[in-house]
Amino acid sequence: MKKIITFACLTCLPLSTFADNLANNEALNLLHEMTQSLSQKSYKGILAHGKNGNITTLKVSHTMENGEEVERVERQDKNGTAYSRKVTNYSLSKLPKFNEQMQAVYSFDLGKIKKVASRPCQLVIARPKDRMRYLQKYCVDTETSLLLDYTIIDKSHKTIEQFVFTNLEILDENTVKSGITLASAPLTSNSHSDLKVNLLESSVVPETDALWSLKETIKGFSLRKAPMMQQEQGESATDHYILSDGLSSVSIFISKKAPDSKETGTHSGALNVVTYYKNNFVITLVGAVPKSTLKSIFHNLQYKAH
Amino acid sequence: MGDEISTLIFRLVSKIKVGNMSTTITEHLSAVLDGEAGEFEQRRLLDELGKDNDLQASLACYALIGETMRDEKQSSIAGSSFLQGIHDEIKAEPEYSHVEVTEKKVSNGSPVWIRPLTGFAMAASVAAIAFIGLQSSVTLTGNTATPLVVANQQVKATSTMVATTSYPDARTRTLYKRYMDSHAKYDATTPMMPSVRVVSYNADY
Repeated sequence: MKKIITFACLTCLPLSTFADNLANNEALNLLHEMTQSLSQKSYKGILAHGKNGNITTLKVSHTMENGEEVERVERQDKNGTAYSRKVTNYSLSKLPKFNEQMQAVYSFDLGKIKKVASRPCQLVIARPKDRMRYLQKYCVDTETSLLLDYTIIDKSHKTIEQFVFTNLEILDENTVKSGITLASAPLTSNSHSDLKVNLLESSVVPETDALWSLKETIKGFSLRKAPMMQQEQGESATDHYILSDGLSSVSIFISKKAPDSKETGTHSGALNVVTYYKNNFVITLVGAVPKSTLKSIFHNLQYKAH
Repeated sequence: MGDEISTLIFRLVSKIKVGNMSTTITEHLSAVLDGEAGEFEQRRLLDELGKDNDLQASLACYALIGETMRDEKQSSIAGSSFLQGIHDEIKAEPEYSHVEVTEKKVSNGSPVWIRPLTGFAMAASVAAIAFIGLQSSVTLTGNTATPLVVANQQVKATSTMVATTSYPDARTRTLYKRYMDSHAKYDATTPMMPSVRVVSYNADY
């Protein structure tokens, strides 16, 4: 009898592993399609953003104009400053690559079919395998592959940030050409307009050229150096490093310590910000990961010049 | 947990009262927009929003009403969201776990902290006199002195402590804004449009 049970277990095990892998792949494929749709499709809608116990509504549009991505976002409250930018030099290859390596730190599962903004969407869960990152839920439109609902959940299973479309309109080429991107009058761009998101490979300095490195590799994360931040008057030069596992990323800003520097920290939704000192430098870490992860990254940083 | 139970009770009660689910949910929508609802209710409402077309229309309508009212500005009634704003500001205030006591002069020339002590000493003296009257004893000096000594020790203990804070000051917050902008620029992992996050984060400070 024991032999039969053992045999049954052994035969079922590979089957279940195969089924898991298949579901993982399906989930990954869907997320991959989602990233492509988000950058290639033109759409507009109302997005509700929940964080810190508040919900704000935003009018958003994403259009392809003369081959360029243009995003427009407008807050629907008293601070309703419009924000628009042309996403030029945008490289699709730099969008999150949902690849199999990610499975070392996340498991991807398909969930139920939900309805968001009156559209059916497939729930995909990216569950971290350690406590260094947050759980992320995506609800992907079954028809357009656009992301309709995105939720970040912390270690205590609490939703800490959520974006959900309350209505969404897919725009065809004619609508985009006629310039109707938002229901309201054209937005006035603020100082961030035409912000260039230079995500091309060439803009990222190899790690070997960087003055800072990690003592120990943090599983799943890789460190790169972004172009140096532009200084404002009275500011010292700031180095910008990016640590990413493909789904979560942390920016590390390093500048010379000023006499009045303080160790501080804050958070907004899932995004944590902390400032510490090391080797007479002020190090600020920004990322949608737990504060403990930011601290661990900070302790892992070492100055290579010594 | 307490919040969730209270919102559930509220929902049940309002359901019984109104007997109409859509009325209940729009009330909740209004509560959420006013910052009166609990986290559980907010999550539930966000789920509902995805399914319910009428609710979406209500949200758009309420948002518009709110926007118009805020544009007109300075309503004479302080709404709950206004009060919530004050509560948030208070919460956001640095926590002074240790308070430095400074000697502040008042009009009569004595430091502020002296006044309660003087009052206490006066009361104690009255008690002492009464005690003398009753007991005709000389052991009263110690009794009257004890509370004073205790009070003085408390003041001495607090006066040596230093104010500490971990909340970023205005300059640091401005710098954080720039860092968040820059992070969003290179954060290729944000699935939603990065601008959405930049807009909402910038409004936090």
